[in-house]
Amino acid sequence: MILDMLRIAVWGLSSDRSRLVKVLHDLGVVHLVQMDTTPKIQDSPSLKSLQKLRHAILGLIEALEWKDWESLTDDYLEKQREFIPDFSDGVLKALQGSLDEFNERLGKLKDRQMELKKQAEKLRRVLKIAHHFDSFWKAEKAKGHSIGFWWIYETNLSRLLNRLKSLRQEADSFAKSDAAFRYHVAKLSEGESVIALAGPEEWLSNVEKVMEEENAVRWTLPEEYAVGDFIASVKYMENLYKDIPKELSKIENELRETKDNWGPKLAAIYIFVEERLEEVVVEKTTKTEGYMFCLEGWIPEIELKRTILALKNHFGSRVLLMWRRPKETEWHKVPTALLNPPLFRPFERFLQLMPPLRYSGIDPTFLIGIFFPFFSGCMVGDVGYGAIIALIGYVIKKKAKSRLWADVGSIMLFVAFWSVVWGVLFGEYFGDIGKRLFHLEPMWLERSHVVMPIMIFAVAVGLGHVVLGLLLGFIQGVKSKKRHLWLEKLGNLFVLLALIGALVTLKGWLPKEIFVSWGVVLFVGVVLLIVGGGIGALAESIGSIGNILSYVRIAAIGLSSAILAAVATKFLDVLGMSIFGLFLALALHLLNFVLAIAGSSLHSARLHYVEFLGKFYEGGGKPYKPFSRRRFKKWKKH
Amino acid sequence: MEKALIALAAALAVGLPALATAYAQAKIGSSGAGTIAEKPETGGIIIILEAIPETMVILGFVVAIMLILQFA
Repeated sequence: MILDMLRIAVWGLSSDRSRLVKVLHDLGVVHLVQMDTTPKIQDSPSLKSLQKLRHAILGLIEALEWKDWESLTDDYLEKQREFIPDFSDGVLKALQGSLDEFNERLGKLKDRQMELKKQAEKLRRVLKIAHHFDSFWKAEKAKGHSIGFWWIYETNLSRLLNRLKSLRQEADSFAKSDAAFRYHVAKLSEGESVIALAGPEEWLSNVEKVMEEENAVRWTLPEEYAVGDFIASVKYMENLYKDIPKELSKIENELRETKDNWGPKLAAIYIFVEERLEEVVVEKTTKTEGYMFCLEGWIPEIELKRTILALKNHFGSRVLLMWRRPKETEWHKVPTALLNPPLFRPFERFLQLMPPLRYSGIDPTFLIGIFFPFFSGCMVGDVGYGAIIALIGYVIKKKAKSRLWADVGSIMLFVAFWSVVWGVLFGEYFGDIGKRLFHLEPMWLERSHVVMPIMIFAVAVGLGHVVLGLLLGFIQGVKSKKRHLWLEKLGNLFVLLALIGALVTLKGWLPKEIFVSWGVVLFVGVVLLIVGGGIGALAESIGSIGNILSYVRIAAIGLSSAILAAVATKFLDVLGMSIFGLFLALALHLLNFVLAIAGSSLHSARLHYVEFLGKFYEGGGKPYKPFSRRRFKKWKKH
Repeated sequence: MEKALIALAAALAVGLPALATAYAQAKIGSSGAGTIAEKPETGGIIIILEAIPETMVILGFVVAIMLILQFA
């Protein structure tokens, strides 16, 4: 149902402006009309400082990696609001100061965390190399040799080793004992290695030149970790590496605690700042005349009393509220507010795929709520499948974290209800399992065996649905005083009536004498069509017949679903009660179930969008967006 | 022979619209994927558009069923 709207104008004293905007914001029912953000408004210093604050808070929320917006309850927000009663310059300054301090503390923690991670990675890489040479270093040191390390390209390694071997004699001459020169190679990656050379100190200094020629670079332990000799440094690094995870987990705990404690608080402040920003923009765009200012907007008529009461309570006689009904000439400017029974509210989702409904239009939500699950359920038409859809719908509704999913769950419950009803009528319980095991017979027809009556029924339902659409289109035309529209719809109805009447007469269900009168009805219909919409309207009339025939899909998709379910059970006949047979039967049932859900909802939606709504739905309206506070959890109250 | 011809007619009644539907859905699908990449909020409309050509094959299926029931 589309709510009746009233145009209101609120006049108040300029000194009350801020408070009045706040009261209207709390009330949350006025759709303001004079919102324009001119550059002058954007330059306002209060707006700028609020925007700066908002960015700072958002930056902190992102730095904390806090995303749990859904956990903010109204109660929590109201409690937090007590700490920030307003956004005066003093409060803004204090907030900015606290946020800067918080940011600095958080930054220090994050920097330390990053530094530790980098250090751990560095130590891991150095230790990986150093551990290759532990025993080599100890053994060679025991012999009194000097040891040096070089980083080298893998491609140069064999040539280098050959050259070193040729220098062996020289090494031997320096050596006090035998086997003077030794080396050990550790592969770092595909193309890189580190080589350790051990030998007399004088020889090693001579080798430097060869190493340089082979593009080998001296490798030493990082300066900051060098304490004493190689082994002592390695030990020191191992200790450091062992301690890093402890410190990291301490920082992570601290960050987690900060996130848990401060995330919701910052989010609440962010919401308050956003709200305040909206208020400031409204304050700046009000019409000012002398000591007075004026706010204009639209409110649903049912909210008028509450609005008057709220303004009276806060401002007494210092506020003047004027209201009037919209004129026909301004219907296109009036925002459209919908109010449907809670049971049918989820079906308002279907309108989101259409252009916004006009204020003067007809809200189809209730009708979609009736027909969508009816058609969908008729296509599924199986008690077993219906029960599973109900279960899935219930779980989705219970676990839903957003209103969208809660609505999807509710719609599935509707579809499940009709699936069960149609399942009983068609005698289908997971295909023909009910019939085989419990001899459950259909209450109406077995659709896999009696095809034609189901098809005729589907077309008859389509006729009813399309005629209803045309009737609504006719009412819409009369209501909005669009002569061409109601003439066209009426002509369409006459043409359909004539065709059905002629068909029924030919079948012998009506006396043959009145056959000619159907010709007269057809003529009247065609005249109305041409007068209303010209020759083009005739094509639309033929389109309506096509629309009606399109409903045969309800029977066709239902039939294919019933046959697939029966085939699934047939696997057990052919393969017996084997694991393979059961697996195939279950797999086919699963496939059929998925197709039934997807196909039935898609085609049912299409029947509504293309065949039904096209007959009367008027888009191009403005959705009702009241000036209200942010409430992420508001939907859970329903 | 007569039954074979009826079966062939039924098969053609479903098969030809099925090919046409597949062709149309392929075109709509590829364009739709592009549209959704640009504007994800159009997803719902694209899915509905994707279902529109199915009318052809569904009506073909109905004709096939009628052929079989009337003549076979």
